[in-house]
Amino acid sequence: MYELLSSKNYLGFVIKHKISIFIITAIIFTISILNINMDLLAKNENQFWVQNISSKNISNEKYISRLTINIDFNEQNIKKVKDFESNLHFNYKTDSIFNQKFWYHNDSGEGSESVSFLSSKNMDFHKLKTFIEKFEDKSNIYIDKEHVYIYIYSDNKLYLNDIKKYTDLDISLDNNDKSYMSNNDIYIYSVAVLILIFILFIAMFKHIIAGVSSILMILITSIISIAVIQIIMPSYLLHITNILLLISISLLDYLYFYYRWHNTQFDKTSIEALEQSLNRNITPAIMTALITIISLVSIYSIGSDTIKAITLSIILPSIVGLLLNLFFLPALLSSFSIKYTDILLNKIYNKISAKMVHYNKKMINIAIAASVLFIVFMIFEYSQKKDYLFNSQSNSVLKYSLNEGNNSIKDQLLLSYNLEQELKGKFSDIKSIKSISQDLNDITKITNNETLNDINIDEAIFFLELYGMDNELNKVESKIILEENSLMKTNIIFYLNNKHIEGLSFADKDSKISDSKFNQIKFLMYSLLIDLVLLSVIISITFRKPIMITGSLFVNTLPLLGFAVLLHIYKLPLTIEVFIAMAVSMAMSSNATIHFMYSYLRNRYYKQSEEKSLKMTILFSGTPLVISTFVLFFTFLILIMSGIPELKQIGIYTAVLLLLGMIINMLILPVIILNSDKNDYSA
Amino acid sequence: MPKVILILLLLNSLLFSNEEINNAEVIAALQNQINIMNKSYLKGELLDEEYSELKLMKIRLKEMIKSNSIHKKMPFAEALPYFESIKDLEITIGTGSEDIYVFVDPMCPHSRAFISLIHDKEEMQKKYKYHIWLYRLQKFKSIPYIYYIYNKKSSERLDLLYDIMVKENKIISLKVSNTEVINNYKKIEAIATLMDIYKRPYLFVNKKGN
Repeated sequence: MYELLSSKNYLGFVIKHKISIFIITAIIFTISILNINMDLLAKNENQFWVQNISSKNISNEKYISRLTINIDFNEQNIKKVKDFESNLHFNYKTDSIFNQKFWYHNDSGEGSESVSFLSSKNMDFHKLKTFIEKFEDKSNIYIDKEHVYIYIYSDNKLYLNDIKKYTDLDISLDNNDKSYMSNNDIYIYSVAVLILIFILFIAMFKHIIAGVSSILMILITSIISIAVIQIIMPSYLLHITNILLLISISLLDYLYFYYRWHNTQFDKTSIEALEQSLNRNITPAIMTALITIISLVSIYSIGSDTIKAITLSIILPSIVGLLLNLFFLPALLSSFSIKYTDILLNKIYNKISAKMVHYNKKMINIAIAASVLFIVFMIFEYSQKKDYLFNSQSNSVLKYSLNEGNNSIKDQLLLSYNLEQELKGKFSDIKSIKSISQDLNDITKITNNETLNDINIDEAIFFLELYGMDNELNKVESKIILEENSLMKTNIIFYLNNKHIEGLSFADKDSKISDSKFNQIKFLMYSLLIDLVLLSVIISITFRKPIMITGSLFVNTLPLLGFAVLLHIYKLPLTIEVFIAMAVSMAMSSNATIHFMYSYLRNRYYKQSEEKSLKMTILFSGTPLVISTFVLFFTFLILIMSGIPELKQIGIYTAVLLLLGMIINMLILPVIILNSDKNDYSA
Repeated sequence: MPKVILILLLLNSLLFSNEEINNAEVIAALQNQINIMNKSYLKGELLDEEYSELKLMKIRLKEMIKSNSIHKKMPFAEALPYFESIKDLEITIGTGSEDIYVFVDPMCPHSRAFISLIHDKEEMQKKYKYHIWLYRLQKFKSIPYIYYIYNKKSSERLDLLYDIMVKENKIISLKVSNTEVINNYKKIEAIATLMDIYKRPYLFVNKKGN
């Protein structure tokens, strides 16, 4: 496979039919772009995750947002808040201090007593003040000295701008972050990325064709891939991360082709340079595409829609990119030539390759063994410490329900009460729990001076019925209200999930989505690990180097490991954004491994010395890697400016991982490859 | 006589209380003794002076319980036989399949509120059957009303109860001297003391399936 392919005839064919190639590409591109449904691009995180939950399970649920109003407690301000809430009622259901009923001990003394409830509805200011003082422990989730809290139930996620129009009071929402991307936002971001890439390429290669070809390759690959994904998965909402994956993958192999063509014109014509570029890169490019497909197909077939979409976002640009690199790119580049070809950082690469050849083999083996042990340790650590693994940036209200199943309503109520007490004991951030079970407990504390149990529950239910407050008895729901700025919500969801309580389901949209995310993320992480191993095995088989199983695993895992250490140190959660960043890093790393290995082994096959082979490898495989890393680094960093927390995370994580990957691939991968060289090709 | 000595010893133990003596144990012992004497009373075996002592013990027990704040509700299964023993004195409301046993004081405002709620809610009357006994609270001068109601025929008691507790009608002539009525009430009182009915209204709920 290291024999040079004769690409002269092939290139001749491409150049002869380049107009046809351009026309066909343009037609396919146009058809694709016309068939892309922009509405199938998820505008926000929740839209994307909701589709992973069956509509039956989520259509009745509402988002619950906590609105905080900063006011001084006086009659005038309270009236303002009341009016504000009345306005909200036109569009939303609300829960506030103005519509509460609390059970209390009505005691006339000397045995004359009963349980009764007091309602805050229609109370004037002074009565309300007394009411709040009387029930301070229960009303603190609705009002304190400086704030009034209103809980709003909505079909769609609520943002501050939706509410601000109703009032001029000083208000804030729990989920204040912008998580909404309009079509305009997506267009603006896409254009910004393309302009950035265009400028960077021109700056690096000092020729307009570098910028133009890169943009065209990215655009055509991405558009065709999106169109195909939408054909394969017609109603699936794509996340912006799918698009970022497409952009990253489309850049990778392109750069190997382009760089070789650009630099070879130092002493060759444009056509000769094209020929050489094709010769050197066709085989590794095909290998990359094949290895990608083989390693991901198994995951595609067993995965959820999210995983399918992610694997397609890697497989399709690999295939489309390969076809474009074989047809469109040579056709395009054949019309241009480069007069001044600066070979970037040549002196540095010479020094690095000279030093690398004389590496300490023992140290490498120790490093590999230590890294494997560390991987095992990290897996163990992550399996133990779960507190910070999944955090929630969204609101601090969580609702769940206990459905009937095989239990009677009494059993459900008791189960609900006991579960609530357990949660209160375990999670210190829980400010209050509102539920019918808590109401029943309030009643039994008054009537029997006991907490709710299977004996006194009947009497408590009777009082609910007597006072006409039993309409929620058939729906056992608990609403958990957390302290402000609490990050415990997803931990609680995780905890409830793990308890496997029959009939328990989350009853607000946010929690349902978090639950779905949590289930997906677990699967995504396992898929990533399986893929790492598969890749390493396939690479070692392809190059007939069994040692590359550990070598490749080591090189591809090390950036992820380094990143995991950072997450662990800073107690950052494992989220889908981390997975996306890791997927991009893995794609880059495995691509680099294949190109590096091919280039080095091919040079050794043609009797070049270790040092010369390494130099050529670093020059012609390493430089494209550095350039693509550099370009993608800035591409992902732009995401920080999006203002959307999930995208910011993807941007930062991917940028960091790409840098880590590049450093490891440039410094350690060559040594691993040298280590695997058994001098079969000694001069 | 031996019973009296036991009672006095018990009472003395309270007067010169040893801190090591557990109040709960004393209350339990006192309650047990009251139980025994009540049973004798129900059989008609108690002498007059013994009955006076029994009354004294009940008052003492109430005070102790109140100060100790130990009001433990008797389990329903244990209470049921007592209800059966005074079944002929119950006033029933409703036709439901689930039973509620209630002790009310006709002059107590919370008892009145409770009876009014039941009176107004037909659906609650269809779901539950209320077995009501009248049992006074010390602070209300309800005995004449209680005797007056129990002096009526069973079929008339409910309407009268509504008159007094729901409509709050005043009854002009409450004088009742019927010994049987007084004795019947004492039966209720004895049972109620045994069961530590310390407040009004006091409920026992027996849901279907229990």
